[in-house]
This record gives sequence, structure tokens and C-alpha cells, in this order.
Amino acid sequence: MNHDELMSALDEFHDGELDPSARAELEFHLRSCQDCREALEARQRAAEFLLSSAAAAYEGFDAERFSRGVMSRISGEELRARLPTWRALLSWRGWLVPAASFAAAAVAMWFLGGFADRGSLAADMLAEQRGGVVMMDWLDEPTATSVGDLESSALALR
Amino acid sequence: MSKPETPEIPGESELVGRARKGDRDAYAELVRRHSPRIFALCLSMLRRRESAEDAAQEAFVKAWKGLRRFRGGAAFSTWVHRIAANACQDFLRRHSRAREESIEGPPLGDERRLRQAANALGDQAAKVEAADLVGKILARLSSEHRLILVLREAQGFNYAEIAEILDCSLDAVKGRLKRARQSLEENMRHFSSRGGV
Ligand SMILES: [Zn+2]
Repeated sequence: MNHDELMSALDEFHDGELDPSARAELEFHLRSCQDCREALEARQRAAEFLLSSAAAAYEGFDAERFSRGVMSRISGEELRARLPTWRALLSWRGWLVPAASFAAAAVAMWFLGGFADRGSLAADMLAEQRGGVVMMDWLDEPTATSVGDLESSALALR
Repeated sequence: MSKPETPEIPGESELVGRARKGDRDAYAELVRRHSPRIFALCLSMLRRRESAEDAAQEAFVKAWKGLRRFRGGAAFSTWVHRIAANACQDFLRRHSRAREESIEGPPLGDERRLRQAANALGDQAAKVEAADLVGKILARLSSEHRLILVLREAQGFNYAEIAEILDCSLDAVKGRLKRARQSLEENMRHFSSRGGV
């Protein structure tokens, strides 16, 4: 290898990545070549400079405390992941069952002729909404088909 | 042959295996062992201790979540360094405005003071000032150059390990390292009027 080739191999030499024969050749060349020696010294200075930066980082670092911090962050994140999010609570799917119950209650009211008593309509609707989920189950019952059944069940809800 | 009385210190692969099965104590031990180096890497990248600690924590939390995907063949250390390097790059992207003000480099008025500190790098009395200077010179490099220099010179990874951490080829490592060194040497010359750094 000539001077230029050896010069370009200086990084690998400095990093210990050169194969033994190339390494021996470069070591021999370094004895007689001032330019290559200076280039290598510049790399060594840079290395010391970077090492000193890492050494400063270790001062005052508490691995025990840090580890505890990581583990509590992991626990916190896992706990949050298990809780339902506000987004899920507010999504349309979350409201599907109560809304369907409300609609079913309104239909039942219409069947019962409850609309005649307009004064108590709002109060009735509210009461039906509160019992919405129960009404859904009740409407699914195959036996609850006659108006009489509906009437008695609706009365029981009030 | 009788077994030694003292309890054996669990090896790295044993700890990783236990942690993969959800053993938190094993993972806490892995964090204790690897956090000083990971923190040093993050500090070199981000300079502020609070930011570095935050990024390092984020890296270990991500590593825990991704442990099942971790291939046993690679070293845990290399793998966590890769996650931490990405966490630092994410942090720098998120805080790119703040970086321009506080990480990218000192205001020009500081140069005189920095030059004095650069010349005194070998002096024990100027140790704190020098450490500050090291950080400031590093901050003048691109994050890509800073990262590869720290991985090689401060963390002591070889080319193959760096290629794995940066997810690139060996030739890319060599090329990037060469350019990073040129940039660092230029910056060191810039801060040292008589080449004292
Ligand atoms: Zn030469």
C-alpha cells in the first residue's frame, strides 16, 4: 500500500478494525511518515475528547433510582392501557344501547297511547330512559307480544 | 463437585429470558446494568440532563414493550442502544425549535470564553469548564455525526455493532464515521487557537 492508501486506512487502524497484515504494514509506515502520524494523533485527541464527555455523564447518575423510575413508568402505562379511555366512553358505540333503549321506550309509549297525556310526556320519557336497558331485555322477550303485557310491564317500570 | 455457597449473579441472557416472560425484577436489573451507558449516550445527544434522563427512560419503557420481538441472537445492549438512539432523534425532531436555541451551539459572544477553556482542556482546574466545552463542541456537530462518534469512541462499539444499532451497512458506518471525524476535528480546531485541544 502507498501513503494515500495507508492514510485512508487510518480510521480502521485507530478503531482496531484492520486485519493483522495491513496493521503491521501501517505500523511500519508510521515510523517514517510524519503526515500519517499527525493524522493518527488528531484521531486520538478526538477520541480522548469524546471519552471525557461520556465520563462526565456518569458523575451523579444513580442507576438504582433510574431503574425504579423506569419500572414505575411501565406500571403506570400498563394501568392506563387497561382503563377505558374517555374517547371510548364518548364514542357512538358506547351510547348505542341507551339510545336504542330510548327509541324502544318511545315506540312502547306510542303503542300505549301515552302521547295523549302530553303534560307528563317529558317525565315519562325520562323514566323510560332510566329503565332503558331493562326495556331492551323486556322487548326481546318472545312472550311479551300483547298490548296488555306491554302495558303492565311499562307500569311496573314507573 | 459441590456448588459454591454464594448465590450466582444471573447472566445477561438469563435476565433477558426471564424479562421476556414478564419478570419485572429481572428487567429492573437489566435497566440498572445498562442505564449508565444509555444515559451517557442520551446526554451526549441532548445535553440537558433532564432531557437525557427522560429519553433514556422512554427507551427502556419501549424496550420492555418490545421485548417479545427482541431476537435472542443480538446483544441486549446493542438493541437498547438502537432504541435509545431513535428516542433521541425523536426528541430532537420534537424539540427542533428549542434545539436551535439551546442544543445547537453557544451564542457567538461565548466564543472567547470557549477558546480559553479549549486551551485549558488538559488542566485539572478547568475540568468543569472543559466538560461544558466538550458538550458545546459536540452540539455543533449534526446529530447523525454526534451519534456515530459517541457510539464508537465513548461507548466502544465496533463497526458491526454500530451497523446494527444504526441499521445500515458496514460501508455506511465507515463513510459516516470518516465524515463525522472530519467535522469534529474542524470544530476542535475552531475552538482552539493554538491547537491545544
Ligand atoms: Zn503516510
